[in-house]
Amino acid sequence: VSIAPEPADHASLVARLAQGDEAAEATLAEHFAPRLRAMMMARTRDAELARDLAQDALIALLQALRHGQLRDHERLPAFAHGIARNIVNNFFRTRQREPQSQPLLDEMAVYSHSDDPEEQERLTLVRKGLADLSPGDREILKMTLADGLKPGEIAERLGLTAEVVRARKSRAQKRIVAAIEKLSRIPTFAPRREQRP
Amino acid sequence: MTSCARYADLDFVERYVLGQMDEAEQSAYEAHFFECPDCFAAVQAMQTAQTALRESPSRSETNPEETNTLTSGRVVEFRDPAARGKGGESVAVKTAGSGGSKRMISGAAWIGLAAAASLAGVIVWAPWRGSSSPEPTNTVAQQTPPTVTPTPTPTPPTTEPKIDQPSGTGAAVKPKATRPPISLEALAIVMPPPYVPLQTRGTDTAPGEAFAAAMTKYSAKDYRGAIDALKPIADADPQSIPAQFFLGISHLALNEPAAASAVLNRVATSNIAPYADEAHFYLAKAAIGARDLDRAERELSIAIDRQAGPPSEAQKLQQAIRTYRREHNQD
Repeated sequence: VSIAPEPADHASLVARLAQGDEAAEATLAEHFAPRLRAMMMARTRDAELARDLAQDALIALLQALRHGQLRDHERLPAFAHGIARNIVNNFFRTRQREPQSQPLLDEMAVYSHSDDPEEQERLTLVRKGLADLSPGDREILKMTLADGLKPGEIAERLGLTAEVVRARKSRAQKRIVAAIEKLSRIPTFAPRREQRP
Repeated sequence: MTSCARYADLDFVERYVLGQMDEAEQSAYEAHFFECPDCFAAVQAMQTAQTALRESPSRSETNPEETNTLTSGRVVEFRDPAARGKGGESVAVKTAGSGGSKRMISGAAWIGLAAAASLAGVIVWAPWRGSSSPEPTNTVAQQTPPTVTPTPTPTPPTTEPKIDQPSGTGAAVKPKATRPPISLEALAIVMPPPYVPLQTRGTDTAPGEAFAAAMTKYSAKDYRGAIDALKPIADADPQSIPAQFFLGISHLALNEPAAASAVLNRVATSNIAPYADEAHFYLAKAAIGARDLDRAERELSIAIDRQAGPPSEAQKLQQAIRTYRREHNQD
């Protein structure tokens, strides 16, 4: 069972932020920055833009909390998501001078690696999980996640049935999620432990 | 399957990562994973796998014999020796990012850094900070060739790729999407760095209030209003480097490279960190806007040396300019 941040943690964090506690700001960033980045990545499919928008959202969140704009402290995650959604929607509404004739290449829609140890560890675990898959399952997962192909299209290319592709894709995805299971159980709101359980 | 009772099926994660949800479903799922660690972990796993798989060659790429059975298409062989290892193996072409300690600042540290960087102690300027870590962006990435590829993709190849050749000496790769032509207009585009005010002692002074008012306009992307408000401050006090820096950025945002260059030159020679270093990156942008590519390359060399600008953007921009010049015979 995963350890989720308790509502009391949210209330405490918001209260500390309102008092200008810098450690609380760091905790806020540590907890929400990855979520904001994941969200922006899914919405923009541009790693660098996602980082920028996530940063904008984090700044806006911090400012709002400093000014006491969140009344129900237990709703901090929903508040953060709402701010992030406004930021990304506003970006798409107001962006100007975008070179419309310059479509993104597939290779660019990739998370750029950072030096963040947790991110690096996750990447290592996922790579190991991918290496442990059978070549066929890995190819199906690649066609799904990297190439965006549907099971029917993959089946056609590989000479399989769509049902078989779905089953093998599902199996591969479960193994990848399981590969980072230990990492995913870090209680991000709690003080850092020396090592994961 | 995750242990989450509401979104146990990994199909949700897959559809989210691939952008296949409509706005309502996407938003509901995001709101959920902001609170559900299981689902968030699954999203991270899937996005990371997506990255790793995009970086890895497919079986058809590592094993040319499978090309015809898995995919159809021409086999393209690059013979650029610069893209091969000593043993004739393919090597990754990767541009080193700056990624130094300067870029990896904790959430608390960037506030302290920015506060220390401000002249009056009233400014928090957090342009490229990251916790774990959000980084800024720039549209250069949309212009530059891919910088990380698992297959030998010379940038550019020194010899013409051979089409339909057997892959005896080199890796066979599927033809990649044609890179859009590089345009200087796009390379000159600037994503103004964010600015965050921090209310501390000293903000009650008249210059402080004027600067704060100007930066409110800057933050609202009212760059003309920001220029009108920042220029009197910059003119009155030549040492007001923050005002001059953001004045220059505002000119850049409005595609006024000459005005931007005039102001940023003063910032660059001020030796006041971090503005002086960062100014070189934006001077390069101004030079591109003015079509002065020699100057742009000089400024970028300085920016790279000082790790200025968004992480690795100066390198990408320099690479893009060189490619542009080569393609337009401007070497």
